[in-house]
Amino acid sequence: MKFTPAAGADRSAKLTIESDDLKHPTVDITLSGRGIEAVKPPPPPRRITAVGAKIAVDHTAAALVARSDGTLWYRQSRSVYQQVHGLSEVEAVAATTKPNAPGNRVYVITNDGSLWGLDSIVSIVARREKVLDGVIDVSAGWDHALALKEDGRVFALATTSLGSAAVKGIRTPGSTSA
Amino acid sequence: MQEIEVKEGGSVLASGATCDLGNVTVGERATRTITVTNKGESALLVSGIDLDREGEISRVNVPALPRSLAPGE
Repeated sequence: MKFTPAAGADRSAKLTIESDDLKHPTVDITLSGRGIEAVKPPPPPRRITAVGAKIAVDHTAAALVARSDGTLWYRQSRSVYQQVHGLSEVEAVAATTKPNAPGNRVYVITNDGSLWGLDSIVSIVARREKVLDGVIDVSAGWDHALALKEDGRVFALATTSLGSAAVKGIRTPGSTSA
Repeated sequence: MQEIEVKEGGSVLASGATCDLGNVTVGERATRTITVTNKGESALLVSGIDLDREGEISRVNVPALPRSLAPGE
């Protein structure tokens, strides 16, 4: 017997074995079984690991959220969160608040310590530029950001008129935080 | 008159019994082997093995019928 159930209620069928030689010419047996839905594994946890905020070109506020699966999400005003594609393994995020492009930048740190500058987050596809390596924290202000490297040095980041990052190291005593 | 013994997985199934095929995940398949043995002292002719409806439960590897079973076979 083969049982290949579809979803739904219990299934049954009657099996009859026939022979005129028997005291009772038929033997009836009921076959029954149940089709059950596969148990779907729970979705991976999507704990928030970092948040940031920025002011969009139209001066509306936007929220940035990095999740524990390394994805970056963007929500402008009251819209739904949309994933920023082209990025993975995001661990930290910060954004400058100057509303007008090109000085309007989002900085993210990925889990390998790379610091990336993003210019086009509104299109939900990040145009990214690698700015620094070995970064463990980043903080942003009006049109600049400070990046703390694992060796304790702090770098100041500012955007040029074309939007690309200008990086300058700052002398710091020991492990000053960004 | 002859007697037969119907077994599934070591359990004897009397006429009127229910054989539980169990819970099977949708998209997968379960198979059960039902054995018919001639418990009498002379040959027995099995003329048919039928399901009242074949669909999700169906027969596979059923011998050609009618088939004569020797005593003990």
